[in-house]
Amino acid sequence: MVKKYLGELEVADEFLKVAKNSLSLSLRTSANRLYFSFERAVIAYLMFKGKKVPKNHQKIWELCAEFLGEEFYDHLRHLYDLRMQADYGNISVFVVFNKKVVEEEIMKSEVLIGKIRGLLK
Amino acid sequence: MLKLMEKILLSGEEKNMEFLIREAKTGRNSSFEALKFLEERGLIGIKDFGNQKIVSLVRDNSVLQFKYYLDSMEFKSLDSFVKLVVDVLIFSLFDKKKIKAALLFGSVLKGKGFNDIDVLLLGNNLKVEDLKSLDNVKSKVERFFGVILNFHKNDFNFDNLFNGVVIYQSSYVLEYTKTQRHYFEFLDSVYDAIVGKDKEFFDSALVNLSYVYCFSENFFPKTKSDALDFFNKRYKVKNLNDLKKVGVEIGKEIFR
Repeated sequence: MVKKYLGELEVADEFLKVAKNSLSLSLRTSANRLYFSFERAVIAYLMFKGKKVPKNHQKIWELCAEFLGEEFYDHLRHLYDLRMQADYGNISVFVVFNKKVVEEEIMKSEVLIGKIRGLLK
Repeated sequence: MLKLMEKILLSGEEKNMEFLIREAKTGRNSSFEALKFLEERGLIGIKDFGNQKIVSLVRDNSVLQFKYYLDSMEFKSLDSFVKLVVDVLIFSLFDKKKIKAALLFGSVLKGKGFNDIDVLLLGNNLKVEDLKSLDNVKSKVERFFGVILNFHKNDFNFDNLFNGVVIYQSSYVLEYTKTQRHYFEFLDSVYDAIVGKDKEFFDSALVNLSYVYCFSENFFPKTKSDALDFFNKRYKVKNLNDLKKVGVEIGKEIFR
């Protein structure tokens, strides 16, 4: 039976692929999927550590800071703002949102998800 | 009169006078008098439309004062936790000269069950970098209070001032009690403890909160241990989670 946390990591990989593939097609979709990709990777790690995963984003961030550290927290937090900008950006602007920024964040996410993958052993 | 003015202000559009009085549930005769009074003072306009009378808001600074008054009443009626978070935010806005006003909007105004607090910052030509300068308070609020802060920006104008409850204006006076100022110091130290995950930071935050509690109870300790003793009689804080919980409880009392 596939371990549950590995299933989460699989979803994270799938979303990351979608984020990359949508870069030219829809930047908003890309930023949206990127946040959820990284969040799912964090969730995979929390499950691996036997933690109950909260539904609330902020509570997930807290556990992320506690178990994975500040670098992972900061990245997840920044991706959330980027996602908010992508999803609700018509109303207001609160972070710089362009292709270059999303591209950089995809690269950083890949590295950090790789680190999480390494920890799931 | 206040009730009628509130209805006119909040609807933001022209209103049939009969509907307005019915909505406000105010007495007919006194409502006609009040509306006449408001029209004579130039706060509202009344025009004929067939055999109906249409009431509209006059857009000027005097009317805005009325809105600010209603907003302050609404703000004061919010959940004490929200008021605490907002007060912490406001404290950090005083030195941001480009921000002319801040408003609350969204789910937080609808009562319990909100996951985030949306704040609209108004200023002339506000840039994303101007919002970046608030990253520190945003992070402090999120890590200590456990609630997400979303900042939005827009131009400082009449229309945007009506997009929520005004919680800050650049004309506000920077006035805090000694206890409140110590609470801000406590927040700095507890944030260091959360991010730094260091026992020394935790101890320092605990001492700061003890002082805050002492001052709030009109007890003025001579030494740190006096402060801690006084605090420990009431609270048992063993870890960071306890410290957060007690910190919020004390903060809610201080910023009521």
